[in-house]
Amino acid sequence: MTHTNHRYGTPEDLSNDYIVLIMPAKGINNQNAASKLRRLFDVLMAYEPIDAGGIDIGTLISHSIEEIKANISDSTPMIHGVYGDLETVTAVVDEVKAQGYGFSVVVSGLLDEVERAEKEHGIQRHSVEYALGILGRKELLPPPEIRKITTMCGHGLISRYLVENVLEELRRGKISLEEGAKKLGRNCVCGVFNLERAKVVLKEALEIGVSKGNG
Amino acid sequence: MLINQELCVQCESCRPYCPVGAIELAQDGVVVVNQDTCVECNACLRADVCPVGAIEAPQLSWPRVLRNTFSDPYGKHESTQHIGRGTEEVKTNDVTGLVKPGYAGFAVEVGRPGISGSFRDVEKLTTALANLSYVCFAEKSPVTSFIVDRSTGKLRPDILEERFLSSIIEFIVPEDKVCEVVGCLQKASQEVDTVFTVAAFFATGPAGEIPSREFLASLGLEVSPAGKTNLGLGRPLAGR
Repeated sequence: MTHTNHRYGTPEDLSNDYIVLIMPAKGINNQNAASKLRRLFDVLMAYEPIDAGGIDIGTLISHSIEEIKANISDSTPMIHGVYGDLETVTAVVDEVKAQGYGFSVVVSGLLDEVERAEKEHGIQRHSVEYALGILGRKELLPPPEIRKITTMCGHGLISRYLVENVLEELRRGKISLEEGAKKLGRNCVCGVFNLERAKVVLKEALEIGVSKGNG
Repeated sequence: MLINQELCVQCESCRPYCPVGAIELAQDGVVVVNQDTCVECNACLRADVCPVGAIEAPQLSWPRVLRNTFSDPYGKHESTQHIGRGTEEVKTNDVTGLVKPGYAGFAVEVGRPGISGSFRDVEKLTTALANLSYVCFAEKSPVTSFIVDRSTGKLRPDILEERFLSSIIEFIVPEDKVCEVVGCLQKASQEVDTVFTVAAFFATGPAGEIPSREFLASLGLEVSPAGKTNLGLGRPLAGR
C-alpha cells in the first residue's frame, strides 16, 4: 500500500521528514532475503534513524534493535528508516546501493529535493508517486495540526482522539513532549512515525490552541 | 472488538485509542464498542492500556472478517498472500515493471486519512471508473478480487455494508487519460459518504521526465510537495 505517502504538511513541515524504504519484490528477488535484510537494517541503524522497523518485525519505539533483527525473516515484506535530513538519506542510499543486493529502494519525502540530491549522487529515479490530495467529504477531517500527526501512520492507526488526549495532557503538564510523541508513535506498527517532527507539531498545536472537532 | 463487561472497570483508558471513535459510553455509563462503527483494527487491544484485560478480539466470520483484513495492518489478504491493504505498486516498479512509461498507476484509498469507509463507498468509485473502458483494475489487488463484473465495477453484494479503516482501488490507465480519470473521481467524490486519497505513479521517461506537479495541480488536485521516489536500484531491472 501507499503507507508512507500522503503525509500532510507544508514544505517547511516536511523538510525534516524522509523515509527510506527497502523492499524485495515478491517472487522475483525475495528468495533467502532475511540475511540481506538484516545487513541492510544494520545500514539503516548506522545512520541513527528517528524510527525504523517494519510491519512484522517491530519498531524502534517499541522494540530493541536486537529484537527487530531477530524478527526479520525471508517473508518480511520491507524495512524502513526515518531520517530528519536529506544528507543522511543520501548517505544511507549510497551504502545500501554499495551492498548490491538489488532490492528496490524508495525514498518518501519532498520530491524535488530527493531528485536533486540523488542526481548529485549519480542516481536517476525510476518511478515517482504523487500524493494528489483528498476528495470527498473533507468536512469530516480533523484540524490540520492533528492531521499532520495522524498521517504519519499511513495505516490510520494513530487516532485523532489520542492526539487530542495527548494535547490535553500536555496542556495540563502531565507529560512531556517526548512522552506525548512516543505515546502516539507506539501505535504505528511499521516504524515510519517521525518522533522529532511530532514533537515540533505538538508544540505548535499547543501554541496555536488546536481544539477538538473537524478542521 | 468486544469489552468484557464482567472485567471492565469503566476507566475509559481505551477510548482515545480507537481511530474511528467506536468505543462509546452507553446511557448507563457502561463503556461499549459500537459494532456498526468498529472496523476490527485491534488498535485498542494492541495499545495494551486496559488495566484488567477486558478488551477482546472475537472470532470473526464472513463478511465481518473483512473489517479486520482491511483495517489491521497484520491482516493477510487471499489475493496478495501477504499483509498490507494493497500491492507492491510503485515500491518495486523498477523490478516488476508494473507501470511502464506512458502509463499511470492509480491508488485511490477510500476512508483515508483516518475517517473509515464502507465497501458501498468503494463500489460508487469502482462503478464510476468501470465506465472508462481503458481502466485496468490491478490484478492481485484485494479490492479487485471483490469486483464481480469488471465491465460494471460492481462488487460482490454480501460485503457492501462492511466498514474498514481504508481500502485501495488500484488501477492502471494510459498517461494521456489522467485528466479524464481525475474528472471521473472528482465527480464520483460527490456521491461517497467518506473521504479518499488519490495517488498516481509514473515511470520516468528516458530523460527522467514525468508529468509535472503543475499539470496535475491544474486538474484541480491538491498536489503534495512530498511523494515517493523509486530510485531504480532494484535488480533485475524490468524492461521498459
